[in-house]
Amino acid sequence: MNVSSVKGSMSISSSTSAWKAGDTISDQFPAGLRVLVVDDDPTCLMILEKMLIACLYKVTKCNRAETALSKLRENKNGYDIVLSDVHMPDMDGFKLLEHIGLEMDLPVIMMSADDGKQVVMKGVTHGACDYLIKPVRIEALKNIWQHVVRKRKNEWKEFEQSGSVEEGDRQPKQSDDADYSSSVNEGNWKGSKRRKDEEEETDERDDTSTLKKPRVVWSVELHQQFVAAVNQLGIDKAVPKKILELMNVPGLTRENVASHLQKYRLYLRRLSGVSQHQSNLSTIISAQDPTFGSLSSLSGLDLQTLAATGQLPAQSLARLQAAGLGRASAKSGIPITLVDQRNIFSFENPKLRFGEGQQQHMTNKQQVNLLHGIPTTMEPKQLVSLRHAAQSVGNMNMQVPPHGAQSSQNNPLLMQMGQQQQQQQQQSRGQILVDSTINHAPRLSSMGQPILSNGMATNVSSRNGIPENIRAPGYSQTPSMLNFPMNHASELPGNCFPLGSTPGVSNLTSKGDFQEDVNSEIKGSGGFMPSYDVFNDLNQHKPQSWELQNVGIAFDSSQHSNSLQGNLDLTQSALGQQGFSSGQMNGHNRSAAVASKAMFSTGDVKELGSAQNVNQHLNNLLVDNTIRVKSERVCDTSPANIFPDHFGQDDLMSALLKQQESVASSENEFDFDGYSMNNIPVWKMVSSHCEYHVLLVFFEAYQGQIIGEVSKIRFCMICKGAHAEF
Amino acid sequence: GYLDEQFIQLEELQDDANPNFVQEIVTLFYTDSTRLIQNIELTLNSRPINFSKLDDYMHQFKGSSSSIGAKKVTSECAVFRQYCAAGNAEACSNNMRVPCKSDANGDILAFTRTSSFL
Repeated sequence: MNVSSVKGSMSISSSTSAWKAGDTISDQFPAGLRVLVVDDDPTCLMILEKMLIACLYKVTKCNRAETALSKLRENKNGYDIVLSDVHMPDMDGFKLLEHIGLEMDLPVIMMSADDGKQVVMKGVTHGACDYLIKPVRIEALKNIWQHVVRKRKNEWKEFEQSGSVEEGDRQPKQSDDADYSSSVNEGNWKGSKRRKDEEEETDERDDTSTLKKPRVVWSVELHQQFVAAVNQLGIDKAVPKKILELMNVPGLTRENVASHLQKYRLYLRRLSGVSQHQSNLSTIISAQDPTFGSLSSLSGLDLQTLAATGQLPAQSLARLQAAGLGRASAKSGIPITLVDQRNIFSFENPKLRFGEGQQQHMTNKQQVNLLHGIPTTMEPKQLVSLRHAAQSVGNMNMQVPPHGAQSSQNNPLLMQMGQQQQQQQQQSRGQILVDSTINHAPRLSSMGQPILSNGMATNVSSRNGIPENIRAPGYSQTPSMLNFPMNHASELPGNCFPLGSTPGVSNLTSKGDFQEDVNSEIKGSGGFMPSYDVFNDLNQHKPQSWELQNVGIAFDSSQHSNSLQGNLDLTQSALGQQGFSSGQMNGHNRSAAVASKAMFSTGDVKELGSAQNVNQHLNNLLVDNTIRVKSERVCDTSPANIFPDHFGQDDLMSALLKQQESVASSENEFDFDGYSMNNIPVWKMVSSHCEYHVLLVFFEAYQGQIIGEVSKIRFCMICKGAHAEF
Repeated sequence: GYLDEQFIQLEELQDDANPNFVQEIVTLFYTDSTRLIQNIELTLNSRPINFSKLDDYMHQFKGSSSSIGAKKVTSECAVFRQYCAAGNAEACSNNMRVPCKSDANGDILAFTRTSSFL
């Protein structure tokens, strides 16, 4: 190409295009670029001028299109680029654009505050090199020189191809026909493309520097003559030579005509059916000149548009999808993935369906594992979902986070969760617990309530979360469950679950209202949820809020956790570690949550999910330090293990213990205050190295009552120890 | 919160050579917008309301205000234009008050005074 360098091209183009009177191209290009800016808004105009000066351009400003045109005509080579506003009072910006393109073939950049797609497209079709959205930033202006270079490059090529004769400053007729513009652009585009490819047409230009022939500007007039000649000859018979003769235009070379004819033909073909004259004319003209410009601008704009529209949505879509998927996957079983939002969602879905299958959750060992996975991020959301879910606890388990769905697992899961991910998990666990609790709710219902009330009530105070949990399990059936949380007081940090005889009960009682709620919860959801929460709390301590929330949610959804709420509160507080504030749980399913939590924490997990699970968990939990639902009141110390941060645990535990006492603890009996469950194992205080284990113990105990004996502990999800085998 | 980064850009444009650039711009804006607002009011008060014209004015106003970075005004204009598009005369009349007398202007004015000391 002729243009070896920007400068080179600059000089060449300036000479070839005969734009510049002098060939003094600034060496500091793009500094010194001569810009004509047209805008009716004086504020904008001034700002633009200032900015352009800051870019080291030479600026001329007009506030009227007519002024601009006349300026351009006076000094055809006096400007390198034009910046024009779209909305102007005297003339439409696009019209001006066309004129400039036709007459001077300068790169024109449109500007507007309007960024509507149609408008931008219009700019493109009219041949604008670029389209800037107001407010125009100075950075955008710094780049406008590229259009100048590009155009000159293209022109140079065209020029070469078209021949040497310079038609130059034919007086171009104003093409006031807007139709021209679109076709012009198209034609130009095509034409220029063609032109580029037509090397054969060009005169040999061996030395670019010597090429000083100005481009042939196919003005409207000229083109009309051309077209007339072509028509006269007949399009088939129109050969350049003849056309040339017919046109009888001095200075026009055969080559000019030939190339023009080619473009014309292309254009005709393309626009078969469209009025030839107009389109051709414009096409031709534009083809020669702005073709490339349009092309580039077209692509540029298109790309931009596409990029903007397509990519972004795609990206966001992708993100969303990812997020959505994440959740989904979480459900399915994101192992150990944090119970993050995703889990929550997935969690939610399965939601605790109370009654669904308490067994469900319980049984999953997997779930237990899952619990682990479940990131402690069982955020409130999860909790919420849990609540709403009110689905069987089992579901919860499954759902509960990461693990995805091991409904029955809930409890264990929860438990696990708690342990594993301390704070986060707890939360999730809580949910899980809740879920399971909820699931178990049905089961618990029978037992839960009474139990819970017992233990929970008392515990609640101290532990917030735990108590609640207990309740849940308590009433539904897993008094033991409930107790667990409570009972695990020892496990539970600070949960003074009456791990003793009536873990559940005591827990519940501590929780206070929890029990009641639990019952309710259990009914609805399965009440276990709370246990989970508790459990979680116990384990994690961390996910205080989470747990509670989980619990709460679980409970709420499942039950109406009035009492539960109270319990939950307890649990929460108990769980405190996680930062659950009793307040948190209060709101929602506190009771549920608590219940679940309590349950879980104390090993309700087992209960919640499926006895199995819980057992497992419990076992695990208990494994550690003799986690057993015994009448051990491990209110204070043990919990420490479990819930390092449990604040209320101790209290809860004590409460629980009290409960238990009152309840008449007996091993594996869920004695809830006032709650007499036939098959409810008594929650006893257990000591364990961790909440999880405590819960497991309870679970186990419960399991024994409900579904069978726990043969042994095989693996502790949370502690990665042994868990119960069913 | 009335001015956005565009205004910052304007500020940066100001230098020793043009110490009062910002002030000039803002003054210009005010003058221009006053005129524009008058036109708008006129159009609003005429019956029937010429919405397309109103829209045009709004577009201008929006462009100006965005150029100087008065984002609140700009957004109000956008809202206003929606009303115009919907032919909602009442809303237009009601909302006209907003950009015209918005604190944005006042804010800018204040700012100008400050910057004049720069």
